[in-house]
Amino acid sequence: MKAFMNFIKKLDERPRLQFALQTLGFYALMMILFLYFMSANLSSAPKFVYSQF
Amino acid sequence: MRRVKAFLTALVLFLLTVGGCHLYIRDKAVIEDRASFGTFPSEEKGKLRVALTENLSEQGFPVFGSSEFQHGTDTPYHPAQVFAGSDFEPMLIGAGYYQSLSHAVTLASIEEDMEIRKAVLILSPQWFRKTGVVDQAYASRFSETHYAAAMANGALSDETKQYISDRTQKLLGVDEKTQKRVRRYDEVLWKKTGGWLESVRLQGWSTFLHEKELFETMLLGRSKELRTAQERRVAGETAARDGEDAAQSGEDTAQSSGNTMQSGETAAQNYPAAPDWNALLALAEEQGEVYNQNPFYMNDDYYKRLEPHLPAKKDMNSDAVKGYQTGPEFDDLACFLQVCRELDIEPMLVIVPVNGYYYDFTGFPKEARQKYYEKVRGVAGEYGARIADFSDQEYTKYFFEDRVHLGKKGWVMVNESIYEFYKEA
Repeated sequence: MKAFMNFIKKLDERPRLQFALQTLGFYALMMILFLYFMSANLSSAPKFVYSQF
Repeated sequence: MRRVKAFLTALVLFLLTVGGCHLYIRDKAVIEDRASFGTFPSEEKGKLRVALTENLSEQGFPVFGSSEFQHGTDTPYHPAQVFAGSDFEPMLIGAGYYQSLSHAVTLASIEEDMEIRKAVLILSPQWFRKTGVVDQAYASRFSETHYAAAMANGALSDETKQYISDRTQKLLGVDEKTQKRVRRYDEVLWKKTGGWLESVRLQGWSTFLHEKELFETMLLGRSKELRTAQERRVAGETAARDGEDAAQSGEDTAQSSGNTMQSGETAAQNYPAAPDWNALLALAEEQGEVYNQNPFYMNDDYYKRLEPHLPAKKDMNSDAVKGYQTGPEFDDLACFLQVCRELDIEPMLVIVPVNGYYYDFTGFPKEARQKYYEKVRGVAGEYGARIADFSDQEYTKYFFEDRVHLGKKGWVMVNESIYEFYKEA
């Protein structure tokens, strides 16, 4: 936890890196949402199972 | 402020990535081996408008059906194997519980991309149960992109659209969210009564669905199932599933007439143009004599699974005097034929019989079956549709894989009728 807090404090001292990481975070979030919606089964129909017997 | 800047930068990067993805997957929707994709039996494929329109061959036309496409895929009689390397590249559309109505919608959706103005519909008698298509089944196989394209099709009459819309609304009662969107499609794309905001919303949603279909088509084109189907098609490793011995016993027949499914040569080498129907029938007969030796002449492995259920099925349908003769499916079939008429597509209906031996066992009256066939012929006659009538094959041994699905001989005969339909000018 302490190491993490130190890392955050160091980031404050390096605004460019902070900006890059924030951009990367937002970008990753958008890509995750995009890939989810592209591949998800969005059908709201009830499940119907084909049965032979 | 810095966070807002970071967000906007990320948004620009994201949009650039999405644009790049679009350009990349746009081309990938055209599957390299279109012929294999066409005969690839998949429930998903039929729902994806992009997958169908981008991969319809100019040497083929849609063949609509249902669960029979998913049966016997590893035998030399399935269309995937039979037409491998031939000059005919059909697009099989359908899976279990796809019926006339959804096929009518699909046909109206993809017709602009059909070069050969023909379509085949393989009819399963079970579609014509009193209930018609089951609402849950219709909802689970419903494709919004097909529906939207059908409603936007200017060549389709208002009456036909009204019928499709009414039936769809009713059947989608089990899926209210989609039902609501369908109403919007009707208003915006067909009746043109939706406001501009509604149009913009629908346009946005349609664009998203189109992108999603491109993505899913690309994934389907790279799926393991398709690869397996391609390998099977190329290697001709099929009949082995019915037993190596049977394959061996059929080898002489097959080889003598150029059908060397067992030798591992490619199907393309086997069939420079037309499949050798006589050789396939002979192979079916030989394999049937070894692997379909049960009271119903169906596949032995299926019979073994059915056997424990048989006592409960004895004479269970003896009161079905009106079996397969009433219900909304006949109207849905008429709708399919009406779509063909309005869009100038020549249809052929394949009348698939039931397994006479098994249906007699269940007591399903012969007269009822004959009346069903007659009724289908009547509907076809009203629309001047061509029929491939196999209703006299109820007692043909090895025609069926099970109680109703086409098996060895069944597939050979049906495939031949479809091929003949293709060859006719």
